[in-house]
Amino acid sequence: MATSATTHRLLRAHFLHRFLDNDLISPNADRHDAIVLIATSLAVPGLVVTVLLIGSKYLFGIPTPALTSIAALDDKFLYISVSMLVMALIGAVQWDALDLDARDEAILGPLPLTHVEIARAKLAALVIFVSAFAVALNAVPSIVFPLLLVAHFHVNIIAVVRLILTHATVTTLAGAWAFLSVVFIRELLRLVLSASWFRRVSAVVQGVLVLTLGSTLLLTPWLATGVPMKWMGGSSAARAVPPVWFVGLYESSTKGITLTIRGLGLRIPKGLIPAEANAHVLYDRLLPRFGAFAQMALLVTLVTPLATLALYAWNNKRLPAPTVGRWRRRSTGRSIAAVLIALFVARRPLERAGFFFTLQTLARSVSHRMSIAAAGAVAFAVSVMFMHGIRAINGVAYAETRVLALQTIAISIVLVGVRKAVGTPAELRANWIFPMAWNGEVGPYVAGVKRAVIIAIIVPMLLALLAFDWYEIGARVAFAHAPVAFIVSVLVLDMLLWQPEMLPLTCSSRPPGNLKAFGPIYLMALFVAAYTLARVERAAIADAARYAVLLAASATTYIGFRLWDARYHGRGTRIVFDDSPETPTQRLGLGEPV
Amino acid sequence: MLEARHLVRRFYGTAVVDDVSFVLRPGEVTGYLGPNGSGKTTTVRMLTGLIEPTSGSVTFRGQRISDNLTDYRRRLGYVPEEPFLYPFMSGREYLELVGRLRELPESLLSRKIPAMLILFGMGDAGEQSIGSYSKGMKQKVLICAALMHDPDVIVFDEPESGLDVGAVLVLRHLVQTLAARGKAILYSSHILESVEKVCANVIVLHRGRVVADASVEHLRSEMARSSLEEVFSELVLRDDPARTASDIADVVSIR
Repeated sequence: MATSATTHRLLRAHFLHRFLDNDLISPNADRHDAIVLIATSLAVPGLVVTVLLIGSKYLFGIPTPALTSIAALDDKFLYISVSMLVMALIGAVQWDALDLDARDEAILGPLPLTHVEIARAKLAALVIFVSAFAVALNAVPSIVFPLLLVAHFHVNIIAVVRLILTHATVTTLAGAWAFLSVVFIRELLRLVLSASWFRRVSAVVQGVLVLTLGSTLLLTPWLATGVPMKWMGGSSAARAVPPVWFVGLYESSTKGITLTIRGLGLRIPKGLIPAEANAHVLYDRLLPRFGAFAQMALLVTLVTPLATLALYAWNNKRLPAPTVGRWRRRSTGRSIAAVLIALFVARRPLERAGFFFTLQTLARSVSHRMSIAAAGAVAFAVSVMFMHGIRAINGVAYAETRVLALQTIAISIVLVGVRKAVGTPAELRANWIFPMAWNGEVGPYVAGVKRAVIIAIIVPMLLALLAFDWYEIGARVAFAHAPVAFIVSVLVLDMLLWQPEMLPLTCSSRPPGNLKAFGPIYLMALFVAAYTLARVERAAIADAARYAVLLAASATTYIGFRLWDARYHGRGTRIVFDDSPETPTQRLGLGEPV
Repeated sequence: MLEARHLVRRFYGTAVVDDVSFVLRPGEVTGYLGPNGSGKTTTVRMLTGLIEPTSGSVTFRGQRISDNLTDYRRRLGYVPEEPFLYPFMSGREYLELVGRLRELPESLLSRKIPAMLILFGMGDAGEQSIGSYSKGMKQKVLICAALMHDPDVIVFDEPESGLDVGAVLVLRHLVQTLAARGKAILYSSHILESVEKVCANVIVLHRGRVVADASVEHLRSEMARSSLEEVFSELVLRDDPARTASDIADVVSIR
């Protein structure tokens, strides 16, 4: 029995390490750094938001019980949504590590362990991993937020403890449910699809999940306003949003305390009496719904783990077979495309090396896909906020300026994701081939990389935005804008990839300077530049001659930048490759002396 | 053609390679023998320019390779010890990448790559992703990548690792054929049988130092031994292998 417990502990530790394994960072040196970094980035935002933003509202703004109850619904929705979205995102990012995989089979298969022991340890590791994240995310707000809620009222200690426990339980339950839902989706796909189809579909689903969850997370502060009217009292579709169920559970568990505070007969400031009365009415109207929402929350919290566990157990009946390679037989269409690319897009072999290597890496490497999906999520969230602003504007001229600026901002954000992706080595240990086969010319290779990004990312994005522009601001402006947008996008790409000592996808780029200090400045600069350009463009589009001047100026700026760039990317630029085969650890600049 | 002069490489003050000198000539296969940790791979990495020697130099056609590493590497083929490749690419795609980085024309790649893959018994597997390859298959891809540009100097570091018997036989013949066509070849291995069959000259390394540098025949006659294995045992192994094996078996059976 003792041996079995030790084995279980060892296996559990092994699987926990696997969750933090990252082929791009050092196998040993950076794991603790990574844990601290992740825990801090989960805990600190909760503390900052609770104390600085939400705290000031309750301490200085709302001194009455009913108004507090109504305002708190927004904040509870926010906490619950963030918990759900972050936990679901963790599930999406860890997508391939959720199940036993071929590497587990290679490592553990030959050992005298039963499959049940292995599966149990994996499941235990998964539970610990998820719980640790849930605690890091929800612990601080669970203590601070309830205290702020009752700051103005005389409430006994038992009620405060109940509030704290309720907050902690509901936010953690919501997060766990969201995480399990991602696991459920994965396991369901595994069950219904063949192994080869699962591999194909799985990559797409993971990307889509990261994109949608990421953009929704960024939009959460905006979505969590007016919750009583927008979500809880809204249409049946609005009420079917999962965070609403858990807010209902929260309120059902604590409504006794809310009603007790109301019954204390506190003195309400004169100016707040009508608002307080309205808040009373609204809260009383919602009271019967909380129970129904709570029932729904309890139902899904019960059913989802059972269903997920059943699927998980079924799919992990035995260790997975070693991976069978995916067949990539070249079709006629692909062959023709390759010939056309060789003729018109990337004529030199080095250009073709950069072009095809970029396409293959961005399409097939999970970490590279994740970088672009995350940037896409940010761009989508920003676009939604912009569009909301546009709909609220009556002036056509200003709306046009916003639409035009939005494109530059959205494309720039996605290209920042591309920069992050191409600044990540495709596979550090395989990089040795680059210094071995390298002829010293950076320019053609980087040109191939840029052309791949233009064809695979910029052109599809611009086409989608062209259709959007057509709908929003009319065909004439949309078509006039497209060439300028293309030149600007390519210029932004050139600027982002201007780093002579870095070879895309083989060397890891380092963030320029102190990103925490300069990040907001870069962002402001982007917004100012995008708006300025949009204004200039709007003025130019009205007149053919001015439009021609704008096009010529854009093209000249681009050519000027290319010529300057060519001086640095020409023959003789010394590339510092990250890694050579003899190095025992791999670095991403993390081990540099501070 | 390729000359190593008094190569020394220290790691944290310890000399892993200590005053190693030898010459690789066109048409010759030089075996580089030594037990694990003797400094073979470190020497190979200095020869390929992947690491700098602490002292000493490597010259190619009389010129230090560090003076123009790029030009030297155009003439160099290298099969590393560890088969690290991009797992998301197919074998064919990887060879295309290497060929393009070496600026080989597309028409040449489209002839060479399928032919090499078929000859190495990987015709169909060439379209599979490398992530699913066995070690031997990866090794075959590495060998194809090292030879695709028809190099003058070829450095093999444990090339037989993971290869099946058939592939090993092909490799041995290939090495000899390439040497016969004027290539200078270094064949680093600890498999004595291979070195004995493939190499004309042998350098034996022990604890970073060259303990023998001569033809296989000369070593055998000089040391009055019938095989390279016995020569190697005499030069490098301080303990009786049979005795050591017996001791290991004793430890294994401890309960």
